[in-house]
Amino acid sequence: MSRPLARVTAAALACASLAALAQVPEFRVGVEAAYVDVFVSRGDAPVVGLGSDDFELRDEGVPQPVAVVASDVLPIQALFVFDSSSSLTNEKRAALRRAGEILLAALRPADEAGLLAFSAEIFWLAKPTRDRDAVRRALARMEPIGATSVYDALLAALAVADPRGRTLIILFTDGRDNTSALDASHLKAVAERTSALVHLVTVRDALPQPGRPIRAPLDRTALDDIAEATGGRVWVANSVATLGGAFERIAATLAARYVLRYEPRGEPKPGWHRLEVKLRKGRAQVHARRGYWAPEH
Amino acid sequence: MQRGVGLLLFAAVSSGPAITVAGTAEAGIGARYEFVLNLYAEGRHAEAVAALAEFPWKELDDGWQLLELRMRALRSCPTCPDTLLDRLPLKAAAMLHFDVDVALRPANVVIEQPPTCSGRHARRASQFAELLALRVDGRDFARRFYLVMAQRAQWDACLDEAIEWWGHAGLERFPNDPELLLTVGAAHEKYARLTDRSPTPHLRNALGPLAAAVQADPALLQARLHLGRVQWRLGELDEARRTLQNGIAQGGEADERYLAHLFLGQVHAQAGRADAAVEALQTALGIDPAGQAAAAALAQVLLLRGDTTAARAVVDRALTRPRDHFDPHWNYLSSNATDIDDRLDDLRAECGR
Repeated sequence: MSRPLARVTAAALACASLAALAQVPEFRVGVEAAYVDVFVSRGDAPVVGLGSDDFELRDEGVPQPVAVVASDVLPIQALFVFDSSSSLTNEKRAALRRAGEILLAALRPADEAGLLAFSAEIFWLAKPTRDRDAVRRALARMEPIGATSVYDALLAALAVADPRGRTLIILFTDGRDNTSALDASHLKAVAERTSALVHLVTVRDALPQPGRPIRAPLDRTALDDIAEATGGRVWVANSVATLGGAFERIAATLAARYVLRYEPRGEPKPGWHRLEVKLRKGRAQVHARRGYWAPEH
Repeated sequence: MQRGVGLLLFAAVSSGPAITVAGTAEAGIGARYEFVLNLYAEGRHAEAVAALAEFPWKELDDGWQLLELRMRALRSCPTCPDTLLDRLPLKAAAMLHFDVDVALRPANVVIEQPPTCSGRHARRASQFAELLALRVDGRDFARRFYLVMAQRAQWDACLDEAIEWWGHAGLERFPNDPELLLTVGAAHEKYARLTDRSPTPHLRNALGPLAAAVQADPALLQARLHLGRVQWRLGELDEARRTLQNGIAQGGEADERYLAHLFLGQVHAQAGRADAAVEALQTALGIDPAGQAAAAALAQVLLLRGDTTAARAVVDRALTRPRDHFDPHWNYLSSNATDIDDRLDDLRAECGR
């Protein structure tokens, strides 16, 4: 059952472990229900209070009837993927701890959070848990060491994302990559095949700068592609001092997200399905996955 | 501290009677300079470095002008005796100038800040290496000196220095040296990874030296690894596969075999041969079960073919398995050598008279 993660089918839920079912006991749907996470904004301000009639969703160009469902029936698994390479100064470390607090505060009780740290090595500091204090303790344990495997860390987060639910990946890096086996070009196709929503946060210094580099520059265009393909985005803070603002805006998107449910008409063909989500009336930016992959039957 | 030692030594040389340097007046490179070179040759490295760091550059240049004349003569008659060159500790001179150069570079605040590249003392060290390369008793030392300097500059991301100062300069004196060719190619490859612009020109620059290194020493497995990876990054997938498979057939150390299977897996993946990619990457993980680079590459292939459960299992194992060594890929692009400091120490140990 490798249905693309943008789609959560009843079959997937049936296959889920009892423990996972216990997390969402009230969730029951038809065989081919699909769910799409959507965030709507005007400028930087989230647009709230929208209903089912406000949205238009097309799957491969075919309009689909949608229903807005309460987002808390599908808990979030939030994976904080934080750069702990040697460039992590005390100031950045403090900023990341504050960022973690901001994000934890935005989660609902049923949501899980985990902390995956990376330098050259990628390692769990806290596996996904509802225990917020465990994550806080893990944030406090972040120590700067070694080089930077940004792309391999993002791949790892996509791979461990919960395929049955809504995984939110928030990756922070303050620098460039120098030890990954993968590069940005490898990741977009992977991100499209998962249901994870990816937000990438960086500071301006990490983007291409004149002078002699020692680490591979982050490919901003490719990162935008990866994040936007999943319905997320890249947030660039001007400095460490303004990093908290980026995380506050991500937290705001969490609180104001819509989960659209629809039952695709007809037999879904295998391969890439282009999704378009927009508002029927009014002007606003709608952030949602650009599509999903349907497996061979 | 450095200044104090320098003044002390200057006083010793100036006051003269306790220390006499035979033939100094005849040679003309400067008594103080020659004294400090000999100090280094005697193994008193720290004192010599501190003293030379205080020398006015003009004084060193004056000494070098004479040596340049001797070098020209040496080029036309490599076997002719030269009392000055026979007397001077030339190996010590090369190493001392390098050590002074390192001592004068500002320290990095954090490890990921670009290290400062070599300055004029390293340039002078390269000139002594050129002199050594002309002498029968200095050639082997000079070759290893060029090589380790190129590798060190590559490690510090001083890539122009690695390629031009040390790599090409070394190859002028030691054409077709496989290790120098490998290092020049690997430095171009690293350039491709680090540049903000298109990597393709740098990858193309890497191809020639790496192919020549393989040709010069078919047993040099590292050269095949780098050549195969560069071919892959250039999209020459069939060539890359052949190069890496030939490398794998050679055997090699565990780290080299791990990298060969990792890159071969990535070549297969890019060519759309998912099954072959999985097999190669699983072999890499068989060699280094904690290898996160191979785990990431394998999980990528598995996710692309829809096998999310297997991908998750591979990553779960890689994240939780205890590690007692670096993933070889983490150092792969830093330098093609990881024992640079040991080999610098070996060279220092050979500087005695």
